[in-house]
Amino acid sequence: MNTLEVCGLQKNYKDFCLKDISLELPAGYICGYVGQNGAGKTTTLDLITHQKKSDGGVIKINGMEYKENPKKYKEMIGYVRDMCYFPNDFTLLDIQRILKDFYETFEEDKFMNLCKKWNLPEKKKIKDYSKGMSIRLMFAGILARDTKLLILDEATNGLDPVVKQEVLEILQDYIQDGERSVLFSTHILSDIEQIADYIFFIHKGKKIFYDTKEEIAEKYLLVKGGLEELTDAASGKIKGLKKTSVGFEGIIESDESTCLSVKCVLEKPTIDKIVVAFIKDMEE
Amino acid sequence: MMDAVRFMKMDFMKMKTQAKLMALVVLVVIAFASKMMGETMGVWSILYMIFMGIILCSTPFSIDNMVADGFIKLLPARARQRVFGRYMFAAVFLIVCTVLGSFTSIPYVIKGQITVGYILSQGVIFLSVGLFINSLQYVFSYFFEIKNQQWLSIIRLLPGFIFFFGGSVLMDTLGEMQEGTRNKIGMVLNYAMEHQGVVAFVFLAAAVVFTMLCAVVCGKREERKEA
Repeated sequence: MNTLEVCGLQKNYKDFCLKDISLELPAGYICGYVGQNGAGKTTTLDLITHQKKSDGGVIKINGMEYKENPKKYKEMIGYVRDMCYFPNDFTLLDIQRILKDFYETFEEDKFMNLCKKWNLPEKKKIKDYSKGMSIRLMFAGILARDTKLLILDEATNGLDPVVKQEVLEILQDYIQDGERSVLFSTHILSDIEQIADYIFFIHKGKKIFYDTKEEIAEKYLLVKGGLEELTDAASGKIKGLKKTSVGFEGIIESDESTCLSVKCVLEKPTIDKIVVAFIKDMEE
Repeated sequence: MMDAVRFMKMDFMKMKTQAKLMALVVLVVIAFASKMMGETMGVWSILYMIFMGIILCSTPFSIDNMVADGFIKLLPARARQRVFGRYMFAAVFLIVCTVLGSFTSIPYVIKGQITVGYILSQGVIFLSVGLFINSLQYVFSYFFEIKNQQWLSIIRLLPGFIFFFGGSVLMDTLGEMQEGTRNKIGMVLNYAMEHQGVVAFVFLAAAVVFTMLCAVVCGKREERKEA
């Protein structure tokens, strides 16, 4: 069963177009949704969460479309973003009251236990919380209820390494039962490297690739060599070719690596390198 | 409907700071009213409280503007319930303002300068006009979605000022017209003064219908934005 199914998603703005975005995210997996700033990541997430209306396409969470049951659709979503979305003058106790009122599956004890574990002050106003505290509070509100899809929109931006590691561990725990999934949008690819099972790369509103991390790593190689090893045939096939005075570096598809000189060094690339190479190639 | 009530409760929670301000305003109005013992002052205090109420009713829009998306819109409820909840909040808040304003008229009733019936009917008429103006303010806020805080401040203050100063001028003008009982307007006004209860009821019914209509229109608009 797929937790998330997106088919032909589209959104048109005056100077930007999200076109034909499709993906299927099986239950129990984490998908890294990556791209540059302005690529369309937040737009996609706004459409999936129905905070904005799409101009085309179908979105299903656990097989259900929004129009079938808007309440249940929203109940299944947990959403965390880079900025705190609770009203500034509210306290943790106010948030608890609201979540208890609105969400059928919300467990007060679990929420308070998480808040105590993370040392979140009960009576302090949200506007006086640090960034790390705000992120923890958003997570507490989600983990204390039953959700199927956790969506993170640049949620690890600006976090210190300790809090960031904590967040990544929360995500891994979240999918442990095999029934829930995470869609993690970020432009910080090192975060994705650690935990993502699938990578969706979006650029200027279009899907560039969507595959498992292993498949992507198998499909591409990082090639390095001296300038004398760089033939015309090879340079045409290398994405994101970077030349220096002593050599070159770039990404090539594994199938096309036969055109390379035997003196070239081939390594398994990081997702970071692959994405940057693609972007550089598309910009040229 | 329960979701609308939950959103209404949430809007009241957003007003914690403003509630303290309202308490201060009530004290000021009581102090003012007790010093200026004239018939019109008894009514003036209700007018003033509703004026404050109209301005403060737009506070939830301001607060929502200052907060990133992702919480309120993702609460499991239909968009129209959010809108209905907001309108319910405004109605209840203005009723509370009317009641508080009416309490400050007690000294005038004790002095025998005005009757409870007069306070009641005037209060209902002012409340109805307040509901009408606030509903228009909300329609404007939902349809135009102004994010600029300076423009938002002007839009927040304008309806309240129109209500208060417009109402004050109108009351004075109607008072002068009523004295000329031979003309048609004067006769109508005299009739209205003698049947204040009926007039108040008609005003309230019209305001309630208008408010519900505005809520439905805004609710449909919000739903269309998301689905």
